[in-house]
Amino acid sequence: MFLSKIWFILVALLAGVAVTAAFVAPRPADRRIEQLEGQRLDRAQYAAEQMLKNDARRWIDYVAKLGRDSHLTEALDSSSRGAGEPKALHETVRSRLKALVPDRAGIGVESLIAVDKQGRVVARVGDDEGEYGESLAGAEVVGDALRGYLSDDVWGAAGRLRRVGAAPVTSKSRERIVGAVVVAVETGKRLAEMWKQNLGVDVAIVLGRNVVSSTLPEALLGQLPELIEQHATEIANHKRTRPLILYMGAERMLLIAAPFVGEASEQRAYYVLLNKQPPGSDPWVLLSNASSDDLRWGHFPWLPLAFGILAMIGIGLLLQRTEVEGPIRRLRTEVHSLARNEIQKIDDTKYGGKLGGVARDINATVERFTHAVPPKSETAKKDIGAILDRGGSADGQSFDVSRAKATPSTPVSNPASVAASLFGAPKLPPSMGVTPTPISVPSIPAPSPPAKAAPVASVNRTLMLPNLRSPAEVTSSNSGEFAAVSPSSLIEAPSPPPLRRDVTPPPVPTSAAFATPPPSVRLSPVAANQPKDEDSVHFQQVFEEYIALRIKCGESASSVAADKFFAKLRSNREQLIAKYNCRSARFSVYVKDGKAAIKATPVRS
Amino acid sequence: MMRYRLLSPLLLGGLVALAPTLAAAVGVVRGTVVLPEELKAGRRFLGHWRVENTTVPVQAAPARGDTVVVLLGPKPQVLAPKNTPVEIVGMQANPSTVVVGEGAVVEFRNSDKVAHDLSVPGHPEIMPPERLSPGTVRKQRFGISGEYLVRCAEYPHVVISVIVTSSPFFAAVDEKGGFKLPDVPEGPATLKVWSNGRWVHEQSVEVTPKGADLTIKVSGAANKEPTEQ
Repeated sequence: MFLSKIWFILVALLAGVAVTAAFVAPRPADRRIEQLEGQRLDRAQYAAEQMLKNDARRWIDYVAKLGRDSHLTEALDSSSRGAGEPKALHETVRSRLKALVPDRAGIGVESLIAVDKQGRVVARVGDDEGEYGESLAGAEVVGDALRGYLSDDVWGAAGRLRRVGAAPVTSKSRERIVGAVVVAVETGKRLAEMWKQNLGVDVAIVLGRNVVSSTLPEALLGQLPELIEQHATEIANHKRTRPLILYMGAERMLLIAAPFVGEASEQRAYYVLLNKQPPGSDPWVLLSNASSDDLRWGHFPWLPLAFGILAMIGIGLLLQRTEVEGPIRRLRTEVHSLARNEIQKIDDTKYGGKLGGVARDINATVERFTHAVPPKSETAKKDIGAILDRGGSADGQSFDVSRAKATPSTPVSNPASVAASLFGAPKLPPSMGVTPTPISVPSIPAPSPPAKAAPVASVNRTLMLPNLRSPAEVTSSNSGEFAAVSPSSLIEAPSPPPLRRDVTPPPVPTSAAFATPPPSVRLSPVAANQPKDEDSVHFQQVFEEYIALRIKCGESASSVAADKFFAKLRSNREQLIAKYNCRSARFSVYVKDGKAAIKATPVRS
Repeated sequence: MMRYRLLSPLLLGGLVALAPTLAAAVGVVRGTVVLPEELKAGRRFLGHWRVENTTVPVQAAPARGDTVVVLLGPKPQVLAPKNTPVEIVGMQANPSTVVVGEGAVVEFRNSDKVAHDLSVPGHPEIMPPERLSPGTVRKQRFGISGEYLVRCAEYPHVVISVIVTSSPFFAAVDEKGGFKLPDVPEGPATLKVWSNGRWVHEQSVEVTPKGADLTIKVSGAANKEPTEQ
């Protein structure tokens, strides 16, 4: 079993390593994927920034080209000089702007504004077309244009974000600046969709605490402004965030936020690039994402896997066969041999571990059922018939003999059948099987003529003494026959003597008085032909007590014949001796169910 | 005539006796502030591009009165609170920097055609956000010394610097960078320059009876972080 256990431990460790690898191995891959996704978003943000920059330059050039229109130049020059009717100039410029930019909405222009040298609006196309005359000189991009700069800006007003480009308009003579043209470009859904197409990521545009527009459902991005706000310092320092995680419903998004330039940066305007994170790579998700292509012969190591599994199973089975099934089979064969009386005992040295223990237990059980006396507690004060019967259990201490049938003496069970029936029985401590507990009968006096007990002692010496007698008992029983046996040889016996299955207990020697039953007497004291030894005295005493108790219980005493009574007691005593291998038996009377009864107690020493 | 003859020496003696005292009490501090290019750019919020046209020369940014010199230290330091108007017109504040005494009231008038949401960001207890419709005036009292930036939420370039101080010695810098502080008491003082919404320079000066003529060169690297209280 040792190798089997080792093998099971190895298999369990291997399984543990496999499970650990299955759960842990995807983590670095997840981190790597997240890192790659972050790098991808980094590149996308860089590309978006470049696109913004290119767009800004494109719109600046666009309005610079508009500013070179002669009609516009002339009208703005007139307005700057205060010449001409403002309304007429307004209409002229507005018409001209519309003519120059016919598809304003198609190219994403929200409004075009023409201002004169003082920064006053001469005309505008798009938002608030009818209004003119107010000054925009304070707007930095407009002021820059009026000083000669071509520049851009981003405005966030009225909940909208607009990219702005402005260019100066010079006089026809190219000597002075007579005004400027400003273009405001949509910066919302259109831009987000365009970026999504070009960059392959989702886009959201945030102004303050609002998501202005997004390619994703804006209702799911409620946490986005707050998340960006938490990284405002990082954005201020690095002009963008590192990749951040945003949970959008059940989905996990990776995002990078970067600020818009210009005035909008002061208004916390950001563009956010988002990418859906792949689902977590735990083994279940990985398995659910596996395709049939992943299990193709060329892609999956079917052969090594099958070989490995078969090898593991084969090794396990081999070890099981070698260490478990084989020994069990051999043990079973030996038990069968034991049952067929082909062997005396199982060679337990051939079996290791628990099987060895089982073999030893079988040996001990066979030994116990060959020699042992049942424990006292199980059959105390039971009817002697039940005790002497094979089905009963007895401890050999005290038995009711008054109503017992005189059953023939039952020989000791065949050890082999005992072993066969007990194979697999609960394990007994070796001491129980080998050395049954001796029966303590302190009240029994030692036989007065030592010579009469000699045959019993001889039986004990042959069958019981090495197993049943304790050193103290050996020391205390100082009869002649016992004295002939060396105490040390009994106490220091290293192992139980071999089971003597072929030896049947010799007939219990009886005295001459017992050999011939006493004549029948009627309530007479000890008859002349009654035995003179201790047993005879004991039988007579029991008889008298029994008669007295019957009378006391209201039973008839005349029906009890002394000779039959003594014969019954002798018969029972012999049966007890034969069954429990005891030296003698003592009887006592008692009341059972209102009637007189007799019980027997085996005497071991 | 006899009476005048008798009084003249006494008057003359008294004037002579007071002359040193009067001379030591006041002086004129004048000078020129040389700002670095980034502070003279005229733009606070830059976009991606700012290129000069190739046709006509680019003009310098007009001075909007947002550079102020304040002299701290000389006694007496009492600036009486008074109402100070600031007009927002053409999408810009004029003046964009005001120096007032503690408890003074600044009147913000919106002469634009659009509304302005004015507040001191981050300090609603000083000046909470409030929409200033076109043509209306908002009066805001500043009771605690310090520097405050009043901003418009819709148009961030509209910034008004409100410097609340007890020093009466301050002056706006003209387009050439010149300033003049008359009647400055003699003695040590600290001169600070405020520009583009922050203190950009600070130096110690010794005001003598003859006054002081200073050339203050503001270093770009020495620009301090924006001050907000």
